[in-house]
Amino acid sequence: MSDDPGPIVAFRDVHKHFTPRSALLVGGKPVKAVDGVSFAIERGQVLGIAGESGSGKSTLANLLVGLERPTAGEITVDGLVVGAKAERRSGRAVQMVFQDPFASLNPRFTIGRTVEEPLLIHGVGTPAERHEAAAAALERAELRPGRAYLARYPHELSGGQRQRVAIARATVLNPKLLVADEPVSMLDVSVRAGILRLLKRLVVEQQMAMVFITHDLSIVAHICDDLAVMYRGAIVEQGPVRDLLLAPAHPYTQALIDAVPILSPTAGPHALPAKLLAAAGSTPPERGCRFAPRCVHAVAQCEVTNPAPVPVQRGHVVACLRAAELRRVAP
Amino acid sequence: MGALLEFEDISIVYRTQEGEVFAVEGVKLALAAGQALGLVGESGCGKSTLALAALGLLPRSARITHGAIRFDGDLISGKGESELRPLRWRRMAYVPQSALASLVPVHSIRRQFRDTAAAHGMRATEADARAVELLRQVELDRAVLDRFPHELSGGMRQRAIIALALLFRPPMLVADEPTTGLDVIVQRQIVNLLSDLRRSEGLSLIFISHDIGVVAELCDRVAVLYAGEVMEEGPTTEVLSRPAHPYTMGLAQSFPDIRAPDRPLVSIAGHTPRLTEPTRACPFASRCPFVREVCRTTKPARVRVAQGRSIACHFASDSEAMREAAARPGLWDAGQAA
Amino acid sequence: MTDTSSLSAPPALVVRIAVPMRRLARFLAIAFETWSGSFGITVLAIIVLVAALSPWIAPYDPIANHFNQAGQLKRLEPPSAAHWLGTTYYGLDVLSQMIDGTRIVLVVGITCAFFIAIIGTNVGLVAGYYGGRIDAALMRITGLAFGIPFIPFAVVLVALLGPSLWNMILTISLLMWRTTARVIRSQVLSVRERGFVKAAKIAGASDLRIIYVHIFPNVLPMTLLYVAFDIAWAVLAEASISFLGFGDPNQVSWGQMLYLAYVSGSIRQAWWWTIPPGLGLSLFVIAVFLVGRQYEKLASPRLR
Repeated sequence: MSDDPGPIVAFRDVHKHFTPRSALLVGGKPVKAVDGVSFAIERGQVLGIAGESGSGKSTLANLLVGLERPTAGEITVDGLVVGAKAERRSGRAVQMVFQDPFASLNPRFTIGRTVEEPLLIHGVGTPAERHEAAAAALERAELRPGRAYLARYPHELSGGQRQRVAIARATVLNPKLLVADEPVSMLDVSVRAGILRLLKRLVVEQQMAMVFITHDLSIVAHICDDLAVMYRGAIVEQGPVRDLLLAPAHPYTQALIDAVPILSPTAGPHALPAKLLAAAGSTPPERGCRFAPRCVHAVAQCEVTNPAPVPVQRGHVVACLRAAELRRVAP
Repeated sequence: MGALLEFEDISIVYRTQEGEVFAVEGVKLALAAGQALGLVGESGCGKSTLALAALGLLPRSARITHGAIRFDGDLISGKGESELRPLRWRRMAYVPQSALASLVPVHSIRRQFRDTAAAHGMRATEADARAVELLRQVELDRAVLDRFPHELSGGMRQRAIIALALLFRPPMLVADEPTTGLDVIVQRQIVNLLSDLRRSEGLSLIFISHDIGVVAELCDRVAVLYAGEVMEEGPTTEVLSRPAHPYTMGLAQSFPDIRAPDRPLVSIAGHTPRLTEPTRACPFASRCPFVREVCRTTKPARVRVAQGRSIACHFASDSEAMREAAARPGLWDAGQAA
Repeated sequence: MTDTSSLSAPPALVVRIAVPMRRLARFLAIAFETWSGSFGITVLAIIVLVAALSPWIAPYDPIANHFNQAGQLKRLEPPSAAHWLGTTYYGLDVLSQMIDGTRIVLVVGITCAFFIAIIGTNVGLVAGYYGGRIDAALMRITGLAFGIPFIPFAVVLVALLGPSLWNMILTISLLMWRTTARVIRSQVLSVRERGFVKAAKIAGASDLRIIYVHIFPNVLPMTLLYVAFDIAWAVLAEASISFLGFGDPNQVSWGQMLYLAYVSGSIRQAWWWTIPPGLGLSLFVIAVFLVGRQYEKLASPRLR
């Protein structure tokens, strides 16, 4: 474990391009699932990645855990390049918690076996030590007493409990980075807060970093320190979570926030600009800002220059030419 | 009474390999004409079962063991397929959760309209004309008619399904989680669309969702379900801003509000009961922070707490005090694993 | 794992035997749930019992010729008190042959099913997991196996290698793994997308480990189901080969009985010689299918 005081996770100018087989034949263009993304995360910090379908967040998750290799750029965790031999031998510094608690546990394994599997793969400890470690990991995930869960099967547990088992499995090897891909979206609302709190606590206790991927902006404030909003493969806005939610600067972030239903509506639901809806689903433009076709604030320059991220406040960067003037002021 | 749809003390049981599941217990609800009623609850609360029962679409493994369902005064529970057919689509239509699951993957959208029309006695030419009109209403391009379901995005499919449901201008629409799984911008579009349709067509709506935010915007009244029973019912704004039942209080507090990111979220300790046995106790007793002995032995009756509002709780008279206590997040989180 | 439950727990050894016995009992109980299943499993049980006890319950040596008082071969005698199912053209007791034939049914059935399961499952696992070129190559081979007609192939192989029981088992196993391979492959295609497989990958599991430790247990029920059906197919295949005269001449089998009945020209008159083996084969195959159908419920993915 390195004592480097810098960020424990570094995502440097990463690109991931997919070339669909059909395109190869016709000479078509590759799909840029991740198009030049950079960020860094400190120990004990949670970075939220918010985006809709097609934003590239799933590909980003796969890149972080080493299931995909970047076409360009570098991903390092605790100084080791993800997916390289050194990282794999060190016992996997990155682990993942998945969206579907029902499918993420092997129905034929007992809970104990599931949580011990990472230990077994890396040949850690004696069988007795592994049982101990598994029970301890379950207790850390608030399943108490840990020993009582070792012999049970996934179908005996509720969704929330299964997700805790998945978290125990992911943390049993003490990873440096935890990637949580929509970990609560398939759980009942009344159990979500517990899981979020658990994840946050583990991140701080074990001094890990966490990437929290979601499409639900309303929960990010309850777990993330920083938030990055992705659109079509690039980060359009990034910064401290409260700053983004209360004073968003990028038109896309603003649209996402405005679209969330209001819990105590005084007036009827407010309409969405037609331009936002009309161009949805089309391929992003070759030149200029990728959001321009849907942006109500777009000007001529937006179709020419692809905006680079500019800071609008400390730690808060926005990839928009008109960020400074479009930024909403916090109430 | 004049209610368009009425659930009269209805109980529904499923027969499964592992035994019986008591999905719905003694539900009394009514939807007035022109109204939008939201059915809110978590997994296993029975909301989808109620929707299917209202349409007569319960699977064979389910039976109504008690009570009745009335549509426009007529008894529909227990009616056979031949009697329900003339009602379906013409008087009550269904918008399911996953459009992909309900659209035939190998038929074009135009074909789906024609087939549905034919099944309920409308000619193909009329169906085509209606289809064009409906697609315009749901803001879809005419070209969609010639597309196949997999060629459309999730939001477009959902809008197509809504258009299909409105083919015969039914007075009532039953929508089962139509926005779940959709991106938030698309969800907003669907919610706006349903709201507009309600106004323009005078639709009555039963809207099922676990997302109380969407229900808050769309529905006049809401019924909160837990373990197959109604816990609270009343005007939406009232119920969600000043809940009277402990479960509603917990539920409302576990819902994040994007505009109030600093309000702490709570979770309700424990998990939903398994429904394999009918209970004589309050179903929420095992998780309720205000539980007392009587809650574990006797099922509470539905009690009126205000005009048009009722809850199923032994301590309805204390709801004010309970609400104040419930506002403290410390009350909910006992650190127990859910 | 320490058992923290009751203090008066039964001794460990008793528990170790009792639990699997209970599971077996529950497993068997599924077959008895319906009339068809009960019929099927009863027939199978009878065949297994007869095969196991055949040396003791067969009235005569199955390959011993019988002579009457006058010293003549007891050819084609209809059923009598001495020979319950009569005799063959060669003076052999049909009943003893039927009893002895059950052993081939089981030996061929189980051995072939075993090999078919091993080949088919592994092909399916590897093809389904890796996809791409490996999958294409393996599926091409599987396609080849589907394309080759069974009887001509068997004839050629027997002509080359000689008509022994092991060669027959080899022949059957070499072709009949194809269905299992396809079925297992499609199961693997869906299982490999599940979260727990991804989790194992991320945890650093090797491909081999993922295939055999994680995926295989989840396709095992399907494998076992097809093993059951394969037993029936293998037995029919052996009977077909033997009926055509390519079977092992030293082994008594029901297919061979039919062959000899045919070859001796007695197939039309000697109903006591032809009906028992025909009926026996049919009942066996039907029984296997009926029982297999009961267990299909277990193999199919359970709805949540």
